[in-house]
Amino acid sequence: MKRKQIQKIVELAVKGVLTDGKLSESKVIKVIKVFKSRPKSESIALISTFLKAIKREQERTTLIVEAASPLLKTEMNKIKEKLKSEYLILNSEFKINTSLIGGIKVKIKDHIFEDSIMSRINQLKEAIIN
Amino acid sequence: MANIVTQLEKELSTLKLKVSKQNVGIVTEIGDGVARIEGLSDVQYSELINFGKGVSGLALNLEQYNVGAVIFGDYTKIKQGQEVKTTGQILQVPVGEALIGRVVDALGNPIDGKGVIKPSAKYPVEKIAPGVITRQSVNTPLQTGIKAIDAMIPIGRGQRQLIIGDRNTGKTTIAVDTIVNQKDTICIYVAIGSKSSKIAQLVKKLEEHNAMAHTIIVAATASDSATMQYIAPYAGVAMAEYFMDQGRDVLIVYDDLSKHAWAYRQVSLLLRRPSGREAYPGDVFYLHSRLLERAARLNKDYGGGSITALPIIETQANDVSAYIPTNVISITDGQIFLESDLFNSGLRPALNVGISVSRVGGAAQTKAMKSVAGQLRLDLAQFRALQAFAQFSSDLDPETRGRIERGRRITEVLKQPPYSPVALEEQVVVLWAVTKGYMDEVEIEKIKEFEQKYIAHLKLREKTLLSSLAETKVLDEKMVKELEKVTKEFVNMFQKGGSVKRKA
Repeated sequence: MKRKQIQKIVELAVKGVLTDGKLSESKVIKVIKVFKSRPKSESIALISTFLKAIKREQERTTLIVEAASPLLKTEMNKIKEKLKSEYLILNSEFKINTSLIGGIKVKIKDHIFEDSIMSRINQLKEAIIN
Repeated sequence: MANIVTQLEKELSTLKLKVSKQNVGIVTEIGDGVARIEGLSDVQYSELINFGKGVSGLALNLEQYNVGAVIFGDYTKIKQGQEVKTTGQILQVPVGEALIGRVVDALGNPIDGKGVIKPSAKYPVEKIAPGVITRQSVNTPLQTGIKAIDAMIPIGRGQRQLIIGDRNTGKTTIAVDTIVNQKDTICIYVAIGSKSSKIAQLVKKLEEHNAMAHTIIVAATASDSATMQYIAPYAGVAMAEYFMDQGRDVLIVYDDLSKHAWAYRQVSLLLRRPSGREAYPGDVFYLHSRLLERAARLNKDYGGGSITALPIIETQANDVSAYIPTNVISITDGQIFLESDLFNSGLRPALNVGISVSRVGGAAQTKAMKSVAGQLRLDLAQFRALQAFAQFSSDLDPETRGRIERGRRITEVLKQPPYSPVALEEQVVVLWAVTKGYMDEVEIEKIKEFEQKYIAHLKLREKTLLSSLAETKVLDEKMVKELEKVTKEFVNMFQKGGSVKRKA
């Protein structure tokens, strides 16, 4: 099976296992079972591409918030509320990132919003250089 | 110290720090100067991508989940899984007066060790060519200083004239001669896939002839990546557009577009674009047409500037019907065809006048040159036809013999060593003398000597004639009478020197 064919099949499978952006665990298992039934070389390619695509889809709906110190739950909720209108948020993660020095960095889909001391220092650096 | 602090305070007082929003992606594949990136959903076609550590790339393939990008600079620093950002900018190069006399790479960075360049502005590398409304027809000549070209294949400002021929036939020499002959025209030489040593030699030659004072060299050498070679001619023409917008005339040489097509083929294959004939991608015609279409002559409302393009194509075994040569021939306004056989027989520049043509240059030719070029073309055409015929018969009538002898002398006059451009007025008087038969009695071996002495004689005795010819660019009846008189005198003088055969 060609790479393009595998990608097309996986695309269809991913569409099938998602309902309103949410993953259905039972459907994923079923799809993997079907892929497993194919000849070994094909099944390896299909399953690995499928898992990658699912991971990508999950990442697209995961909100990652980074800050130099822990945030309150209400603050996290505020961030979610602000972004809800533009992005589909199904999961959220919080990470401590001391390199930010202060402020926060939010990642959703392939967008990054940053209002940290580090980013301000970088903006200042660019302004001075240019 | 205090000064720096106050200056910084002043500069930064207007700076507003914002929440930054960035579009990011992850490098999934990297190799051979091409990266595949996942993410970057907001990226635009031809947008600059920041890979960090001073490396940037250009988004060329926008797919459903992937972006294919070509990388400028050292791609060995990039790792799989690395985060990259969009910049919101399209690729731009520095432009302005500061670049004149400098050698720069395809991104406009100096590579001649003469320090930092302070550009006047930045121009986008990819730009739509001037429209119909902004243009005017080609009507001003661009003198190459090469007699054969200025007389028979004239080039006008704003024209695209292809120089085509096999390797080692003198293509670059014609382009460089033209650059050497320019005075008020800015010249840009774009080297694509050339050897660094060749570029160093070229710079030296141009410096020797004081031509670097009006020349920019954009060099994408053979050791540069295919991406740099692909972008170099567009960077060159962007620099030219700046001067054209200032109302100035620019000459741009692309040396050569065959290698440019190879570089683009390499980039396209690495980006996994579908390949067509000879493995070139489907848009290889557009690659050159959009580049050469940027050569233009703007009308007075738009400043009246111009870009004249001299693209060079290297053929294999004189095959002009190959894919890339036919493409470029159809895009350009004429071609100068050079042949290795002619070159080896000692005819330099090795022009094949029969198939070389200038489609629009005739309108730009000066009246003085036009008045001698018509007869020249006719004499040469007759010579070519009779020369083949004469090989079969030794018994020729005097008229045929005369035409062949005239043709031989014209061919001799049209020979010209490299880096020695001839001024328009000198070209006109020499070609006038040969077509009027004043050199018919001179031995072929002495034609060059005759020519040199004739010009020297005119410069000494008839300086006003040459200067008025240079000024008015018209060879009127009064001038012709004067020329006839002076030339007769000179021929007599030359005869006394014993160099002229007397009529039997």
